[in-house]
Amino acid sequence: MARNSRRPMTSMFEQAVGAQKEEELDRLRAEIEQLKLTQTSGSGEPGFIQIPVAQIVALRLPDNLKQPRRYFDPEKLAKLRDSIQKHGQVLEPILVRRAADGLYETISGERRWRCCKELRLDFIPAMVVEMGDETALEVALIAHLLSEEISAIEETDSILSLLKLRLGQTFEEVKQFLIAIKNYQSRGDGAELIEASSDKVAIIEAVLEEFGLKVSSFVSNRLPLLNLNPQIIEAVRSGEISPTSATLINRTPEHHQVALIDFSKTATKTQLKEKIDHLKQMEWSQRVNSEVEGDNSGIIMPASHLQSEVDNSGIIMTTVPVQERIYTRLKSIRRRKSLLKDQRVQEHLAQVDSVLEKIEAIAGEKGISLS
Amino acid sequence: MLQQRIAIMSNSGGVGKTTLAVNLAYQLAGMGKKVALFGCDPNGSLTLFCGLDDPLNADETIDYVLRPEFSGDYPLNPVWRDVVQGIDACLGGLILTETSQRLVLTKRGEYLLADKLEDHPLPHDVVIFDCPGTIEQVHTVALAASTHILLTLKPEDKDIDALAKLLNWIYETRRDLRLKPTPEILGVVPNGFKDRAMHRDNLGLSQLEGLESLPAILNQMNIPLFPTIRDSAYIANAAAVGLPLGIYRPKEPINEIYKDIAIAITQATVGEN
Repeated sequence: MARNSRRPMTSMFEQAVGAQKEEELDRLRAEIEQLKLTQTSGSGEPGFIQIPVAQIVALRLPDNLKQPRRYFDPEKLAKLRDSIQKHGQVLEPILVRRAADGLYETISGERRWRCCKELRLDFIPAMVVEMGDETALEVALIAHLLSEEISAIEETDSILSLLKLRLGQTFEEVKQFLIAIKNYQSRGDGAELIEASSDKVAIIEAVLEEFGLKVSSFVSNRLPLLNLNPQIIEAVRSGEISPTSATLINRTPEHHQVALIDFSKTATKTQLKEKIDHLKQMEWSQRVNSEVEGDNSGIIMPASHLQSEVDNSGIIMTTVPVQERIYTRLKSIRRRKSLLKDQRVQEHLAQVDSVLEKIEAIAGEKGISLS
Repeated sequence: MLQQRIAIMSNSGGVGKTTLAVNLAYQLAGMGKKVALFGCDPNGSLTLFCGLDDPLNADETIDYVLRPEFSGDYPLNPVWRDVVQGIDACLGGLILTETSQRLVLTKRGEYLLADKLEDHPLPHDVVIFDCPGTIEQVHTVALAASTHILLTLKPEDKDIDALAKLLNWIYETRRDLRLKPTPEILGVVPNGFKDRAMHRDNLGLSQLEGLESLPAILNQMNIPLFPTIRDSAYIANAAAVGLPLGIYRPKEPINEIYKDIAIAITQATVGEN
């Protein structure tokens, strides 16, 4: 940029840089998919070498590039370990980079490597690449996003990390911007901001499209996943509980969630489900009992008052039948004028209204009169 | 060794594409390489720079190659044979405006040159495409046929802005064309440098704080930048008599830069990534 230039050079190159990254993403995707297809059963496969398992470590990145997900599902890990044990080796090569200290860092295939360690295998087939921190994280994220068993919350986390990396912004900024785009697309809000950042919008749309997502559905269906109770999402991010457990726990009343998180750290998903079901049943019978006893207030007595309802984990469920929950929650918002003024709220209420119509239609089908 | 095919591109005119083409051909020939130059510019400047006469009809130009029925008899002209061996030129010219229109309607038009060079391989070690100064159909054809790309520009804002747009076009187009191997960007060659504020600023030679420079941006994008070629009357004079600088004025230090770029071409690998 010359001293008198009006257009900064970075803005001249903005689109070219974006196009370069798009192309890179495309290429990495193809490469990772190729890697998934490659089986190293034939010896002397070009491009792959056998690396001592002991010389491998997990990807080490500077703080500002920290990987979001550190969760390894023990059940899936066990399945993978069995499969590796059966074959006596890892079939699909992992992707590593050579670090300055001579060790190899996993970019894709951390789970396979962890299994090899547990099985005390000496070598693992790997493809060694040269990669900077940013690219390594990007590839790790893409590889993660391409893995088949990824849950929606993990995918959402990784996509947000990818966007964070691409836009050079914080998680919060990326989220706010996504919401702003959606508001612009659905109602034309904030046109100036969005139109002035058309390059950023293009980057976001391109990334989402890679995974078959649109901004509007990502904002309405995916972002809320990250609005799970903070302690739940924290437990997922730190790898203490699985995302599936997280969703299960999030549906339970808030004051029991800490205990449930604690419980699921050592329990399997099935155990957690059983526990929740069991507690729900207990809660239900308690409610029925209280109704029999003439309590028609619709308010659930805190179960902790009843010694017999506390099971050995100390967790008490106060799950209310869904229709009661909806009724109570609607009641709590119906007089909040400032809330109801918000157009988004009105839109959601209209959705609720149309869903209720469907239920009424079923009543009609069954000949149940509702008036 | 696989044939290297270099597309020399810019998104502005008069920034040294043809000069670079003929001088690289000369330097490469000096290293014992056989080089074929392809004039892809309707202005036919390659003809002038090679000291040749304008072709009499379309059959003597690249237009002849860019026909579906072409069967391998390339219209090649020997260049500077009295001084150096191994350089041939396939000329362009005004006919290319018609060629472009025809290519749009031809099946696999974008890949026509690539297909012809594959079906009827040339014996040359290096093929150089001298592209026009504005993005047009023939750029796509050259891109599809090339293994590497060299970009030239003057260190001025309008050229730099145009270069950014050309880069954007290259990334998008080579993705759309699904080229395997993908033509790699070998680097950018700044030309016509004059010792004045704008040129110094843009090349990062000023000691001023907070000025963005082309070297810094290209470095970020991982695109090599070759040494700057300064504005020189000798370059224009050499072109006027149809000779490369290396023959016209062998001792001129600028020849060393052309030689370095020629070495980079010989060392570039074909088909990685």
